[in-house]
Amino acid sequence: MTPDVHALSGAYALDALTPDEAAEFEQHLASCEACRAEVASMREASGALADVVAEPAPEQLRASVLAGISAVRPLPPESADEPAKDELAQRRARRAPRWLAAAAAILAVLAAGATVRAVQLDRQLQSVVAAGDDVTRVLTAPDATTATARATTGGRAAVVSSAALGEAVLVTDGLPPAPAGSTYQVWYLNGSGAPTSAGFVPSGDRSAVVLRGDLATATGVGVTVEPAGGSTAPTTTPILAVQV
Amino acid sequence: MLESVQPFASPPPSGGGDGELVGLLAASSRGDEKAFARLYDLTSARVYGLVRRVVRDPAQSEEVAQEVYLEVWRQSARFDPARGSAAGWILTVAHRRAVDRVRSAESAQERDRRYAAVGEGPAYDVVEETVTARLDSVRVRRALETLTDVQREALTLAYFGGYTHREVSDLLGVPLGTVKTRMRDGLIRLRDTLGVES
Repeated sequence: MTPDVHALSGAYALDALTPDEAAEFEQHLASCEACRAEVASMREASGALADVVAEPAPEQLRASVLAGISAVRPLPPESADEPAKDELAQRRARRAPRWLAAAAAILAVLAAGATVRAVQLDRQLQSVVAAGDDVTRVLTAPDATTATARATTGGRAAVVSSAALGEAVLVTDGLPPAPAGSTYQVWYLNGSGAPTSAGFVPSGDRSAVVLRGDLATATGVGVTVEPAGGSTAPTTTPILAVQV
Repeated sequence: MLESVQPFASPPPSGGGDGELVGLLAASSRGDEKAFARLYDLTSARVYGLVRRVVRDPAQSEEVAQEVYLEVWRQSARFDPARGSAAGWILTVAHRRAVDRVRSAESAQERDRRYAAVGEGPAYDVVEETVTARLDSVRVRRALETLTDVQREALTLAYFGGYTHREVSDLLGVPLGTVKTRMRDGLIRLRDTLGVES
C-alpha cells in the first residue's frame, strides 16, 4: 500500500485509474470511511459535469431501452448472484447492530494508511463492543465528528464527539501499556482555564471510553501519564492532544 | 498529526428532483417498468450526452447508453440513498461504462488519434464548445471557471476524455503526482462551489 493512497480519491472518482489501481484503491476504500465519504461527494460533483454536455438522446433509444429491460428481472437487494458472499453479508447484518459500522469507521480512521481486512477489523472491534452502550450512543450520534492524532509513545487516538449529546468518546489504538505504577489520564483542555480530568484510558491495545466533564467548553482532549489513581492536574507532558 | 474527518456520510440535499428519482429507482427494483420509463425521461439527456462525449461515435454511444440503463434497471435495488444522490449514482454507472468502452475497444492507433485531437486545444474548450443556454450548465460552468487551468484540464480530460491519470499526465506534460493532486483538489473545489455533498 502506497503511503499516499488517499490522494487517489480524485482519480478514482473520475474513473481515471487503471483496473489494477482501481482494485487496490477499492481495497483501501473498504477500510476507510473517510475516503468513501470523499469519493461519494466527489462523484456528486463530477456527475454535475454531465449537465454541461447533456443532449437529447436519439428517439429510438427510449424504445430499445424499455424493450431491453422488460426482458430481464431486476436483481434482488444484496448479492444474490454471489451466494457465498451474500450469506456472509446476511450473517454480518444479523449480528451487527448499527453502531458497529460506526465503530468500524473509527477504527478504520485509526488504521489509515494500513490495509485492514474486514476479518481483522471484526476482531479489533471486540474490545470496542465490550465498551458498551454509552460508547455506542456517541459513536452513532448523527452529528458525531471525529478528530484523530498520533501519540508520542506510538499508537493513535480519535475523539468522537457529539455536540448534540454534549459527550465525547476517546478511542485508542496501539497505545503501549502505561509504565508500572502509572496510568493514562484523560483531560479536557480549554483555552484559558486549567485542564479538567475527563477519566482514564482503559487498559488494552484498543479501547473506547466516554469522557467525563463538559464537552461544550472544551477546546481539546489530552492524555498524560499520571501516578496510578490519577492526579488533580496534569503533571507530565501530554503524550497526545486532539482538538475538538 | 491532527486531522478532522467527517466519518458519517449524510444524505445529500435532494434538490433538482432527486427525491423523485430515488422513488423511481425503488419502484423499478420491484419491476415497475412505467417508473423506469419516467426515470429514463428524467435522465436520458445527461446520460446520453455524457456517454456521447466520452465515446464520441453516435452508434456506439447508443449501445453504451442502453447498457447503462440495463445495468441501472438490474441494480436498482442496490442503490443506497444514504451514499449519494440517485442522479449521481446513475451518472457514475454511465461514466464507468463509457470509459470501459473507449479503453477496451480502442486500438493503440485510435488512441493516438484521440490524443492528437484533444491536444489541439485547451481541454476546457471541449466543455466550452457544447455549453448552451441551459441553466444547470451555467452554474456548473461558473464552478469550472473557479478552478485553476491545470485542475480544470485534468478534470475535463479524465471525465470527458476518458483518459487515465497517467495519460492526463502525458498529455499535459505535468508529473503524475501533480495530476493526482489536481484531480482531487479540483473535484473538492468543484464540489464545494456547487454545494453538493454526500
